[in-house]
Order: sequence, then structure tokens, then C-alpha cells
Amino acid sequence: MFSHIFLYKLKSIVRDRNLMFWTLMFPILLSVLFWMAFSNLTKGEAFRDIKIAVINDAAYKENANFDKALSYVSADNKDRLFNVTYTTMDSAKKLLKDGQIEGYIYFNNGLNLTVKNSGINESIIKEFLDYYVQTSSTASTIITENPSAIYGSLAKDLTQKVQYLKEVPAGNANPDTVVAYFYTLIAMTCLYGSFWGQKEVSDIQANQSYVGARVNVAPTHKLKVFSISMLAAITVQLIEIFALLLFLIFVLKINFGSQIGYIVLTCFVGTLTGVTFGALISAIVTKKEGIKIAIIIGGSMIMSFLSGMMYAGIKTIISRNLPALSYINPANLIADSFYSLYYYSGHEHYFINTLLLCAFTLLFSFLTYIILRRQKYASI
Amino acid sequence: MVIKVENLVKRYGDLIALDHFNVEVQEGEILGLLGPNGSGKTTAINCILSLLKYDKGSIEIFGRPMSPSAYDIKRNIGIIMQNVAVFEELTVYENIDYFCGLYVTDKSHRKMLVDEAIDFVGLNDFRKFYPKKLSGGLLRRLNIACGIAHKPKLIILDEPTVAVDPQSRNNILEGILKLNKDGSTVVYTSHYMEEVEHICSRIVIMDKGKTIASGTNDELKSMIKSGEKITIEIFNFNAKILSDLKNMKNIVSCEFADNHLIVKSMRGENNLMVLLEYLKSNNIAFGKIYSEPPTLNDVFLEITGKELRD
Amino acid sequence: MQVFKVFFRIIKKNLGELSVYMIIFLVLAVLLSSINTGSQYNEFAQTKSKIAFINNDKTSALTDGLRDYLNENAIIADIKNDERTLQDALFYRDIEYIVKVPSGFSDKFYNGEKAEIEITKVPDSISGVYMDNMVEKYLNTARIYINNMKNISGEKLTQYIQKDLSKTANVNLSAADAVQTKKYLYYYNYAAYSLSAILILGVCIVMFVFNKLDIKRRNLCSPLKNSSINMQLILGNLTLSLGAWLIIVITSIIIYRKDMFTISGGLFILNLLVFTIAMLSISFLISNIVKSRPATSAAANVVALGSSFIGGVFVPQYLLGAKVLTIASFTPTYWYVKSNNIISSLAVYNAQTLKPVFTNMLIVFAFAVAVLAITLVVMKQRKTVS
Repeated sequence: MFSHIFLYKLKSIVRDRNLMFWTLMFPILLSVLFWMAFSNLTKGEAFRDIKIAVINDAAYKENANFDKALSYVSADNKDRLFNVTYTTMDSAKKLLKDGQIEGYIYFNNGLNLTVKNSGINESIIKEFLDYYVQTSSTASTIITENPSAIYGSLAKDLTQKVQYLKEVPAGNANPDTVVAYFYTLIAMTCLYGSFWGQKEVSDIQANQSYVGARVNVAPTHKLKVFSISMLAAITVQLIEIFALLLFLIFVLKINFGSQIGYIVLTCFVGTLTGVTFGALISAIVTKKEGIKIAIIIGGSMIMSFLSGMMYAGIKTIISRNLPALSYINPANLIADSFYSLYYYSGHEHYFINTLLLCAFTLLFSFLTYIILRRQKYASI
Repeated sequence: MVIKVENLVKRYGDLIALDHFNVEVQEGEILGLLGPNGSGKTTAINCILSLLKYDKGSIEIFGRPMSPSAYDIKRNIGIIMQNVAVFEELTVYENIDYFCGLYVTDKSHRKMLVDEAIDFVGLNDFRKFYPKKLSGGLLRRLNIACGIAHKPKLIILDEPTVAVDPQSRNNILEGILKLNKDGSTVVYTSHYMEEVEHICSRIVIMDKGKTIASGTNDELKSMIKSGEKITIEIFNFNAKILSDLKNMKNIVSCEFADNHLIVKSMRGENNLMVLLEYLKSNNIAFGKIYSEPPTLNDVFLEITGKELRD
Repeated sequence: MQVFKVFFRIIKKNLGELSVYMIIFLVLAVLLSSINTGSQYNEFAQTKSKIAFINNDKTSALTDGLRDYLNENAIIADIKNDERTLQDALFYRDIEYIVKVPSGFSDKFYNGEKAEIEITKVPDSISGVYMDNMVEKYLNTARIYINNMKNISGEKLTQYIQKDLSKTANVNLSAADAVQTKKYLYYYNYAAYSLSAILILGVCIVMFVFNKLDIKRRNLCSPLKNSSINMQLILGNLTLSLGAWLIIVITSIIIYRKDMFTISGGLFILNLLVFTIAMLSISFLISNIVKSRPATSAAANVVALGSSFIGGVFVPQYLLGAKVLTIASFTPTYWYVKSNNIISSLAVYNAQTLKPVFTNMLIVFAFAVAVLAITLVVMKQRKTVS
């Protein structure tokens, strides 16, 4: 009996091309998109030189040191930071107004910068100027206190920057935000297991499908058929998740760290949560399939968004303002399980998240059971 | 007694779908449940199968009370629903095998049963077809095969011929007779009276959730006053004819419309002769004459005052 | 107007599914716009981030000075020096940055040996970059003093560094030209995603019904002129698209009120309109290619998410690689977002500044025309084939 239902369910699930698309092809397509969109994030390749202007007046010419520093970072090579136009105040103002430059620099009672925005480019210009002002101050203090330093290594010390920071990951691997995006993608895929849960419930409920009615009049316990069907659904979804994982690891070369066993466990628990979530939705919403699918797609999208799928910063915002939300969002719990594995040396967070997922799975299963347990329907 | 339903009441809010409905099905018979759309046939079937909650009444099948977990009863029932209930993703063979597997666990026995069922509905050439590729009539046959593959003692068919082409319909009706001959008790619901008249050994007529009449075809027809419907084409009609006829003792009712006089007379031998003599003696010219025995529609009409078909 | 009426009856029947995308959008848009008030990288109004400062070294002028300096520019949280506690705090974002001075650091530093401070941060956070910069600057300045002023006292050292690092260049935010990144930039960029999804889905659902062979034949047999049927369908599609466009515009007016009634607001609305037309054209093409009803949802999601991801809706265009942008330039989404970004950064509106905006709009419009042409070819071919 078990293998009979199980095997036929496997067949009918795998042959459902529409749902196979959503649960397998769609995540893979999305992962390729992520890969395209995010692969550049950590490389910094996107950096383009910033257009600035310098007011080339008498005051500027007095500061030969600055000119030297500036031409050093604006030399036409691959490390070029600025693309400098030397011009007059009037024309610089116009250039800024027309958006041809990001800002202009002039000397008037110290070093001045005029910008019209406060974005990342402006910050880079300011950082450069601050550094110059601060280093000049250091140099002049030293020369006043110890004039002989000028014959020593001062000049070299001033231009040389020593790296003093060593980034220590909180856990096992080197931090890489891009991986976090793929975590949310896996979380979304787990939630897409909902599609199968949805299908199995509607196939068992006489008030939702004709085959459901057939099962209800057969001499086999409805919940038995249902449990075996759910097992088949979970099996397929697990295989799909692992296919996705393999695709990410071997084709897109995403580094998931070394704790593959725990990753598999999360995928497993996440899949259970997803499939049971869909079953619950399907048991509650007895409406037509289109609405259910829309709820599942929409719900998974919002949950994935809140776990940082489209914008990683959302996680910080939620944990600051609405910490409870991150505990009741299954997508976030799945993503956080991965995240904690990868980021923290102990497994405590991992298990908190995983246990919460288990709790949700049990809750969803229990509620679904309560609804499905009713064997007679008020109307069909 | 295969099925015994007593005082079944089912409400949908204010609507009473079944109003103290009673029915008994004897072993070996083909019971026809006849009634217009919305008369409660499908509701009755769903209650009998324990799919629907009902408000009152008792249902026994094979002498035992029916419930959702009465698996030993369910094992011996085969159901063919109004709508085709098969998996889109499974082939003809797989569908029948899957549903049969819910009844029969022994693999080799099941294989035999499935093959027989496919033979029975004539889908041998379509074993590996997916439902999507089947025409409406073939789909209905698959639906039947899924319901009867396990050789049930009791087969319930709920309007299996709705929207089916005449050829497939005959095939289905013949199949039902054959199943019955092989020993199955059959409950058959329909709103096609010809079908019911054709295959059913006993008929229950339903309206508004109640049994309004039951018996064999002949018994039902003998229940009503009119025994014969005579239609006569008359070209020069006057009101006197109508009043004369109404006074004749054998005539139940008569009316005139579109140059046709329709007379319903009581059971008896000489109805037509009496009528012709009247026409002849009054010099009334007439054209075509038809005489028809009463139909179930007449039965229904006489009891409820409305037509069986809308 | 029979066809037109049926058009909207079909839309009404599928309103549930369509509105899901509208709801996703509104949730995302409202959330994001409330977050991104202004720029993420706002240096000049930088908020102080919470950090932890752990000193495992002996107390020295150097480490105390660093601590004091950081305390001025960030909030040092009072937190137990325990790995678990620190990890927890970082995990829940109670702190965003940990500075750990290892034992022996000061001595090594003074002796000019290789000395390193261990830092741990929330990956790729902006605040992390600023904190890195601060610590680096402090230590580098200290090094210069120690190298060049032998025997400088600890007190003097910290005093000098403080003095140096407190100096900054003067920044003028040119008042006349000041442009805040428009608040509604994110709203309108995100609109590209849901507008694409809704239009593809809506148009496909309806056209799918009308393209069904039986219905097509019945329509062809009716006394209605074929051109009249097509006109009504076009009218229906246009009404649907403009309706979706209008909902987005009205919602933006509700959220941003009078900010929308500016030149840049108007440009955003116009830009979205041009994009809507292009998306309608693409939806029409897809409706002629896609064969089944479930496939329409798939196509809607793949095309909408795909073009949004590579076109710069979710990830800003300046962070995307050159290759990706090249691919993206084959989607109207890329040009639409590009225009939005330009409009957002404009302070003055004249022929010169608006030229790139209108050029991009023209490109998007060209997409509309080109795709429509392809669609007509596809339709014609289909007709001759079947």
C-alpha cells in the first residue's frame, strides 16, 4: 500500500510541469540572476573615477603639496580615483549645476569642497580632503616640535599607509554578503515546497477536487493516503533543493563553507516547513487554485524580501525595529540558520533557528490535521 | 437489503436539500434515482457515501451503519461521479491502477482487475494516454473504469452520461446492464427518463429532496390516472368540441393548441375508438393521429404539476 | 463594445492574482521608501553606530586614546568581553562592529613591529567601512608621530592625534544646487517590477482567452469586423495598462504628496508612462508566445524579476558589473531605471541636463515600437501556419 501510493504520487508530482517549474526551474533561473547581479558586489570592479573640478586660482597655486597629492590620485592609471578639471570658479559652478562634476575644490581659508549631493562619491572626495588636511596638520606639528624630522623618514611616513586591521570573522568563514543573498534564495525555494503541500491537500479534500472525493470513498484512511502523499511531496522537494544546492556550489561556485551536513539539515527542516505551510494554506483557503497559488507566490516573495532577498539591509532594519518579525518569518529563519552556521563558531543560533522551524512545521501540521481530520464535509 | 436510507435531512443554510428522504435498494437490482436538476439526487448520494454531513436520518449499507471509517463497507462500493475524477499527470492505466490500489493490495490480482476494467470500457488502445489527450466520451469511460476496477458489489453512478455523445452513452448503459448481470447492485441517478426507463428495474422519483413515487416502470405508470395520450390534428376547431370531450367519462384531460388536440384518457382498451366515433358523428375533419403510452414525465407531471425537464 | 466589456470581465475574474503583485509592490515600495529617506551613504549626516571596544592589552595612552577617539564618533556599548556575548550582539545587530586590541599590541606598535588590531563586523555594512577608516587613520597618525618624534609622551601623542583628526575640509552643500536624492526614486524604481508583472499577467490572461481557437473562430464568424475586435482589444489593453500606471502614480501622490507636484515628480510620472507602453508591448508579445495559462504566471515572474535584477531595480546600477549592464541594456527596464536615476540627481532642468533623460525615454519608446513589430510578425506567421 505504502509503495503503491508513494510511487504513483512521485510520478504525478514529477510530471506536473507547472509546479516543477516553480519549485525547480524558477529558483535556478533566479540564482543565475542573483549571480549576475551580485557577483560584482564584492569585487568593487564597478568603481569608476569621480569627476571633480579644482579652482586653479592663486590660492590654489600656493598649495603645491595638495596639487602633488591630487595629481597622484588622478594620474591616468587603473587606480585612478579622480578625473580632475582645472578651471575657474564660475565655470566650476556651472559644471556642478549641470551635473558634469560631482564637486569642486578651492582654497579659501583652508581647503573647501562644494557639492550638491551627499552620496558615496561625495564621501570619497571628502575623505580624501580630510586625509590631506589631517596629514598636513600632523606634518606641521612634527616639523614644529622636531624640525630635524624633515631630514628623516617623515616624508615617507606621511605618504605611506600601514595596514593595521585584521578582519576576524565571527565564526568560520570570511564574511561575504553575496552568499547571504543565496541563503535567502534557498529559503525561498524551501517555501516554494508549499506548492506541493497545496496540491496534496486539494487532492485529498472532497470539497476541493474530484479526485479528493474518490479518495474519500475508498476503503483507505484518508490521512494515511495524505501522509504518504506528503512524504512523496517532501521527497521531490528535497531532491529539488539539493539539485539547486549542487547547481549553486558546482556551477555558480558559491562558497557555502564547510559545514555541509548542517546545511543539508536546514534544507531538510526548511522543506518540511515549506510543504506543511502550503498544506495549511490549502486546507484553510478552499477557494480555487489560482488564488492559492497567488497567496503562496506572494507570501513567499514578501517573506523572502523581509529576510533580505532583494535588499540585504532590510535584515538590520527589522532586527532593530521589529525583532519579533524575524522569528515568525520562516524564510528568515531558514536564511538565518545558514547565516549563523557560516558566521558563528558555535551552533547555538543555528539550533535556535532550526528548532523554531521545527516548531512551525509542527504547528502547521497540527492545524492542517485539525482541518483534514473532519471526514465529512458541510458542502461539496 | 443493500442500502437503507431513512428520514434523511440535509440543509444548506435555509435551503432544504433533502427532506426526510427514504430509499431502499435491494440486492441485484438497478435502482434509478430520477429527478430534475437540483432535486437532491447528488446530495443524497454524497450523504449515502458519508461525504456530506447530514442533519438527521440513518443510512445503512449491507445492513451496517455507514460512516467515513466503515472501510469494510467502502471496500465493496464503486463510485462513478458526475465529474471526471482522475489525475492529469497519470496515464489511463496508471490512473485505474492507482485507484484500484486503494482497494486491492495484492499486486498480481490488481493487475488482472485493471486489465479487465480497461477491456470492459474499451480503452485498450489508450492505455498509455494522458487524460488530456482523451475525448470527452473516452474520459467518461476512464472515469467509470476507475470506479469499478475493484469489482464492487454495489456500484453508484451519479449522472454518468451528462454531456456524453450518443455512442458513448449507449456503451455506458450497456456496460451498466452487464455489470448488473455479473452480480452487482446498481444505483443510477439521472435526469434522463429514457435512460432510467431503459435500464432500471426499479425507479425512485425525487423532487425537492423528497421521494414522490417509487416502483417499477409499470407500477409508476399505473399510479397515474392517464393511460394514454392521444394527439389529433384538427383544422376547424371550436370550443364545443373541448367541452363535449371533457364530459366524456374516459377522458382525464384535454386541451387544444396549434391545430392539435391533446387528449389524455384513462387506462382501458377503447379510448381511441370512442374518440374517433365522436369526431365522425360530429363531422369534424381531422389529419394525423398519434397515440402514446404514458412516460415517466407524465408521472412526474401529474404528481408535481411541472415538467421533469426544464 | 462587447469585446471591451468581456476584456474587463476576465480581468475582474482574475483580480485576486493580479492584486497580489500590486500588494507585494505596495508593501515593498512603502517599506523601502520609508527606509531610504535620502541616501544610504549619507556621510554628512552620519548616524553613530554602536560598537564594542575590547582591550586585551595593558592600558596604554595609545589604546586609551583610540578608545576616546572612537567614543566621540561612535557609541561604545557596554558589553561583556566574552566571545559568545559578542557574537550574540553582532548577530542581533545590537552592535555592528567589534574592535579587539590583542595583548602586546602597544609594545609591538611602539617598537615598529607588525601589530594588528582585530576587528569583526557585520559583513559589508556601510558603518563597517567608516569604522575601519577611523581606526586606520588613528593608528597611522600615531605611527607618524612615534616614528618622527622619539620619546613623545603618551599624553602628548593622544593630544596631537586628537587635534589632527578633528581637522576636516569644509564642505559646502551648494544650497542653490542642493539635490537630495528624490525620496520617490526607490518607489518608482520598484514600480518597474510590479508593473511588469501585472501587465504581463493581465494582458496574457485576457489574450489567452481571446486567442483560444474556438473563441477566435466564433469571433471571426460574428458580424463584428475583425478590425473592430482588434481595436477593442487594443483599447482594453491600453486601459488596463493606464489603470495600473494610474494606481502607481496616485499611490505615490498619496505617499509623497506635494513632492510629486514638482518638475522631477512630473518627469518620473512621464518616464513611468513611457515604460508602461514598452511593457505593454512586451506583454503583448509574450501573450502571443506563451501557450498555457500556468505558463503566463511563470513568464510574468521570470521576465519581471529578471529584468528588475539586472536592470538595476533591486541592486543599484553602479554596483552592477559592466557585462551585466550590457545585457541589461537590452531591456527597457535598464533605460527606465537609468532615467530615474538621472532625474533624481538633477538640480536644474534645461535642454542640456534633460537631454539624456529624453534620449533614454526615446530608447524605451523604441523598444515598444520594435517589440510591437516583432509581435505582428509572430502573429502573422502563426496565422499562416495554423
